[in-house]
Amino acid sequence: MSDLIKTHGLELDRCAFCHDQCMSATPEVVATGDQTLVVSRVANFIRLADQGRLDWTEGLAKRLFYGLNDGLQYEYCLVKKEGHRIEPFLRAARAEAVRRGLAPAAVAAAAARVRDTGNVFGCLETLPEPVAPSRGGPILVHDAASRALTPDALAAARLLLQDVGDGPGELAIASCGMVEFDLGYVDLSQAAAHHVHAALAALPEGPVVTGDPVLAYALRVMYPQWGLPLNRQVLHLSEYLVDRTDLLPTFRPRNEVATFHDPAALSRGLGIVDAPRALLARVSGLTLVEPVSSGAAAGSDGPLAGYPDPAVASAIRHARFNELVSTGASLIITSSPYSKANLEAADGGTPVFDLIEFLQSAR
Amino acid sequence: MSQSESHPSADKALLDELIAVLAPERVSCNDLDRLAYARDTFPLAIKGVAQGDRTYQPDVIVWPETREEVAAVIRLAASHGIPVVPYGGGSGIVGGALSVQGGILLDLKKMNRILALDSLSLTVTVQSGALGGVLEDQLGAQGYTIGHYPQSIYSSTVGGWIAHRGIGTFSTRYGKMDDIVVSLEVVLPDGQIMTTRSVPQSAAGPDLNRLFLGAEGTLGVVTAATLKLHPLPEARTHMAFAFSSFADGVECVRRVIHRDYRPAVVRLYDPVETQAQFSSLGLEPGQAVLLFVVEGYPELVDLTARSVREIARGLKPRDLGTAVGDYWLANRFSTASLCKTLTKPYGVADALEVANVWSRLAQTYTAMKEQMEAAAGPNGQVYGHCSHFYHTGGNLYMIFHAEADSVEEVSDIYYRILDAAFKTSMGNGGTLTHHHGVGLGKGRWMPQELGDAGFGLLQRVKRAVDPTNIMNPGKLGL
Repeated sequence: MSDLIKTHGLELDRCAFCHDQCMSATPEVVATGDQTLVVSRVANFIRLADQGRLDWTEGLAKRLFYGLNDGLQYEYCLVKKEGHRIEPFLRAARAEAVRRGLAPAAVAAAAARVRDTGNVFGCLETLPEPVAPSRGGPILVHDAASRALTPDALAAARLLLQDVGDGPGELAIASCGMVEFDLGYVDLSQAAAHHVHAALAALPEGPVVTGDPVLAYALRVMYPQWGLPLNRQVLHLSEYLVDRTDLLPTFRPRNEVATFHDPAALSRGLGIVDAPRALLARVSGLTLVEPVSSGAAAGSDGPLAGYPDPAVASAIRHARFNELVSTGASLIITSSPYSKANLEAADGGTPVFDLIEFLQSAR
Repeated sequence: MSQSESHPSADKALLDELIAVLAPERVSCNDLDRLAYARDTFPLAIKGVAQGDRTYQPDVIVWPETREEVAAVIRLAASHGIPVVPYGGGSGIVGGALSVQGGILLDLKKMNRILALDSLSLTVTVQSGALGGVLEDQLGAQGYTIGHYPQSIYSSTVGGWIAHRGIGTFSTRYGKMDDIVVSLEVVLPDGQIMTTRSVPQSAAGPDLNRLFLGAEGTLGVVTAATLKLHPLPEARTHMAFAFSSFADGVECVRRVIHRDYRPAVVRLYDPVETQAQFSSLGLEPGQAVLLFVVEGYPELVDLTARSVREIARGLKPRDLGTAVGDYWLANRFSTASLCKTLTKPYGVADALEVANVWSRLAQTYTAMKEQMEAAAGPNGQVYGHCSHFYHTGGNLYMIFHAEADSVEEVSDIYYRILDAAFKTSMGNGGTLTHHHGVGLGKGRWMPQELGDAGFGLLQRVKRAVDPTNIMNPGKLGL
């Protein structure tokens, strides 16, 4: 028996006895119709397994890894205002499944890539030396997600930061450890986090900026919880730039209709909804239309990595893509390497841009 | 006892046939799946499954995507003589989706598409597995609403609303499912597919829609429905008052309704619930809060709001402004207090909804509260509100929380309170259920509700439509 109930008993009970109001906001359930993926059922499986009333099996473990942890469920959670969260018990149960050697193949493969290359994408990289910022400027931090999924956005970020003129530094890391943490590989996660923490500590003072909201969420929210406070500001690029709009270049008019997809880590995780829209408003001629769900209630675009069921992931991203194009927009803009990759994988014909990449293209 | 992953008693021949008409990934007799589907929102089932109890687990779960697949599954079930239990979101609180005799559980949530929207006639045709919250979002994006907002909207489906004759919190303006349904597509127990006409009215004999509204899947499986639509309201306002007694509040609502005003939401809280929900208002004990939400076209909203306020003032209540409405609108889908009681090892809670005519409504409330409190014992709590009103009367929503002395006694105290509640309601001329339906939990009181002749007729209808009793057996007291 593990300590799941001992540590997370209240949260597990709250979910297991719940009336399931989060069901409409659970992407897997909407995509598959499968009641076993409703949070209450998953929580009950964990309780019963921890009590020895249910065997830990590969089937049980697989269900643990469906949950996207993207927070949409909380928009409908009956006890959200009491501080109820599902990620802690879900991550702990995943870690227990990993400990028991029951990780689904896709999860184990993702972990193996981290062990082999330092990142979940399996990118073999020689990371450049850190560049210290000058004049108290920001440090642009990026991990393999930005380099593998949105290299153009990363290049654009460098240029825009040069524009606003603060002499940015740069730190390339393999991984911030967030994906590994979500997948239950706590050792890999913490090794990555300690490495990043040490690397940042060696750099001069100044805010950290990143175009990857998962990375920003990890550094701003999770690192302090892991006992690794950074003692410096951590900002998503949109937050940083929106405070310096007078320094931004003039953008060319774009007479197009666009819609913005709020990444989960950005909107629900960090509470950043207005900044990307404010930046887009600086592009004259661009009409921004909102999808059915946006802001903190935005629909899910799909998982980050190590998802056990490609068909379900595909159904989720297609559902979101279709919702976005039903606005009539001719282009989709988002602000996360994972979100851009997921929406592009829907392959629906409508171009998908990262916010920074789009701004750069409008110079 | 630990359970293994497979179900050794699953009938191999049946599984093969189901896989042949569906697909392997849409048929499961997996142990975890069966446990997950062994509950809906019936309080005793939630508590049971939390203990690993498998009393209500199905033998097989299937996920059809078309009405033809539903028909094929039902024909197979009939040929094997095994039960079929339709399942939507599992939000029903009376155990209507529990597999009391095992069999095939038909999860309809993959049938979730809008099939047609007639903007001129203001109707939408939708598959029955559509989740309410998702459907309303889709309709809202096009400028429409069904106006059906049950507390369970984010976990219930169109099929469930129809099966249990559900009613939403805005029902006084938008109506109940009986009013909202225009036509139905139903797979009958012999596999035939029946579709009623999508017309505003027909006098061609008895209304077949009504045969399936509230039938809880005992006479067939609703696979699609055409429902009434409304444009999204252009205006909304709300107001609340504190009355010196619950009876004064009932009288205020009666006067409003009998003047033919139809606020969308009308909620009258008894003094206990008033204190629990609105303690910050500093009301004196014994006072009852009455909330009106008015929405629709601006000119009608304005007229209704002014008139409701004028009628209310005739009974000299305290005007509470907008705080009550703001709070309710922000928390209206929460059933957290019920869930919290269920987490206690010996705790049980439920919301019982009955209805009666104006002339007996207040007395029924008083009598039910007294009898339920006696049954719940010293550790129990009973309170309630009225939240749906009609020309002839309204509903009573009686909520109880109780604690037994042991796990074994939870079911006893639960049914003891229900017995006290329903006998008192029916004894005062009221009904057994207003909008949750009967399911498993209330079946034993159906003979009293319908009378010998009425219940006998229902039994004969069931035998005629479903002679082998494969459709959701054990529900409606059948």
